[in-house]
Amino acid sequence: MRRILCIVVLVFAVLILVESKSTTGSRVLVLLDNEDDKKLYTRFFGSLEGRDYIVTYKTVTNLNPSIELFSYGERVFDHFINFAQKKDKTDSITPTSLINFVNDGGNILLAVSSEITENIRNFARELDIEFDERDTFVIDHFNYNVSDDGKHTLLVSSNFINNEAILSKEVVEGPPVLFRGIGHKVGSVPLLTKVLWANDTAYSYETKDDQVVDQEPLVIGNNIGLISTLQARNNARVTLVGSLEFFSDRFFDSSVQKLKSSESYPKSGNEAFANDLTKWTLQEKGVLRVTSRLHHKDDEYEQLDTYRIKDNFTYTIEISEYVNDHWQAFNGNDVQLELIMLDPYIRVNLTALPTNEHQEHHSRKYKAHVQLPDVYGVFTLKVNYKRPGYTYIVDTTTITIRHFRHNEYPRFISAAYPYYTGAASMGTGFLLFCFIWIFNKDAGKSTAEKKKIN
Amino acid sequence: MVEKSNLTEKFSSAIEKLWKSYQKDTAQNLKLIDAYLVFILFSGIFQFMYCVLVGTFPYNAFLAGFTSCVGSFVLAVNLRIQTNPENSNEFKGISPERAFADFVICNILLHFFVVNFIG
Repeated sequence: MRRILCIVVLVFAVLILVESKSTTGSRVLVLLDNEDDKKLYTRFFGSLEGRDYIVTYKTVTNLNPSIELFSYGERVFDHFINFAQKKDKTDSITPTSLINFVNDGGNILLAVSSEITENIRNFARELDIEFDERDTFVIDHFNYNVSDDGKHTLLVSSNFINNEAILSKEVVEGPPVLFRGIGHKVGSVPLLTKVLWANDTAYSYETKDDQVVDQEPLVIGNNIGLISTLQARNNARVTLVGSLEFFSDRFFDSSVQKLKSSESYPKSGNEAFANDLTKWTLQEKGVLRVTSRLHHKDDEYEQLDTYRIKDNFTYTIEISEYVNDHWQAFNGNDVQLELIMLDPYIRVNLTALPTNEHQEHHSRKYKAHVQLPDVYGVFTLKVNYKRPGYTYIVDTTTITIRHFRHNEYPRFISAAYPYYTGAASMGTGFLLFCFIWIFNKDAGKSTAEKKKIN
Repeated sequence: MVEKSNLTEKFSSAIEKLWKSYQKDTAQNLKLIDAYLVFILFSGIFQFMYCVLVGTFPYNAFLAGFTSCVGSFVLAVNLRIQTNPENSNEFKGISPERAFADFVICNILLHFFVVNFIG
């Protein structure tokens, strides 16, 4: 018995030790064309393993054991990195299986070259991304590296997205990156974000023969996406990179100098860029979570289920961001609160409360004071925060707003005082009249008659 | 001009005569009722004017106040008709005491409703 306990504790200890830096799991499947390819990307895979991922390498040529993303309906891997260009003989990595993988919360990093397979092209189409034809390259006669082989396909690009959630400042301000591969057209789906794109002078075409361009290219100029990402509604992330060489040790170490440009860099920005990109894709950055939410009347501190119309109301939500292996205070200042009953009745900005610098904070408080609407019913307090690069926050709380109770109104309305007096005077007038009527001894006699009597 | 001043003179003298005969020939209890009616009339007019000026906001209060005036007026007029000796032929079965009792009961009923409705 004790021995079993010991084993259980040991297993847990090991599990805790190998906990990777991703917020969604540490099992990575890397798919390659053949074992030798691993040597081309040692730096990239080295950084991945250095971040405590359990990496499983598989090749499409070696069918045993077969590649399965799911086993008995359960996801076997948390992340999938595809570096394979050849057709998968088992056909287990189909567009459908990849979509199922994403729908189940798995993250995907797809690197393709000009030898893109139909399966991957179809999967990209599902995400509203259209890769150009097989064997085409992104060509730019003005922005290629000096080490180019004459076809002008070794592009130098610094068209990075300026989004700190995805690329850190050092990368955005750092040296440009090298890219050789296929371009794609990014659709209008709002979940898509272009991370790297080509220069204005680029076009996408075949490089065979003498490069006569006799047809309209699929995409031209800065519409050519080189690296694009999609964050699905369930926060699963997909990154499509049009260049496999982008991750190679050769590109990581290569120097960068544009033709006819005096600026030269001893080392390309590829390594730092690839690091940030994989960190983002594998949910190591740009991850937000709500740690608590609280609502109460302005002058009370108890959270109620039911409030009254026109109550003065305070709502507080705490949001933390996962940065570099730990949860810290989120720095956004555009979080909004909505009070919804079918339509939003109130939409206000939440004020970010400052954090104490001397104290370590794992989250930031956002606060709003509102006066509840003059409408009663069941309302939803919704914080709906969706920004490119960050995981989506949709946090809802339901409260009931009741009307005034009958004893919460003023008992007498000042505007009605004349009517009260009128009715009261009618009552007293009636009593007075009765009193005089009853005790009037001369009732029924006119003055003339009285005189006669007298 | 002469005719006109003549006319007004005639009119004012007629009014004067009416007033004098009213004072002389009308029974005292009927005069009491008349005074009561004038009081009710002014109270009602005042409430109506107030409602026109200020608005109908506590409409139930206005209705209650105004109805109490109208109701009291109608009941008082009924009492006057029934207790007037000149009408005794028409109300043979109804003595002035009986008419007064009716008046009191109806008034109590009226004010019961008014107080309930005024809010």
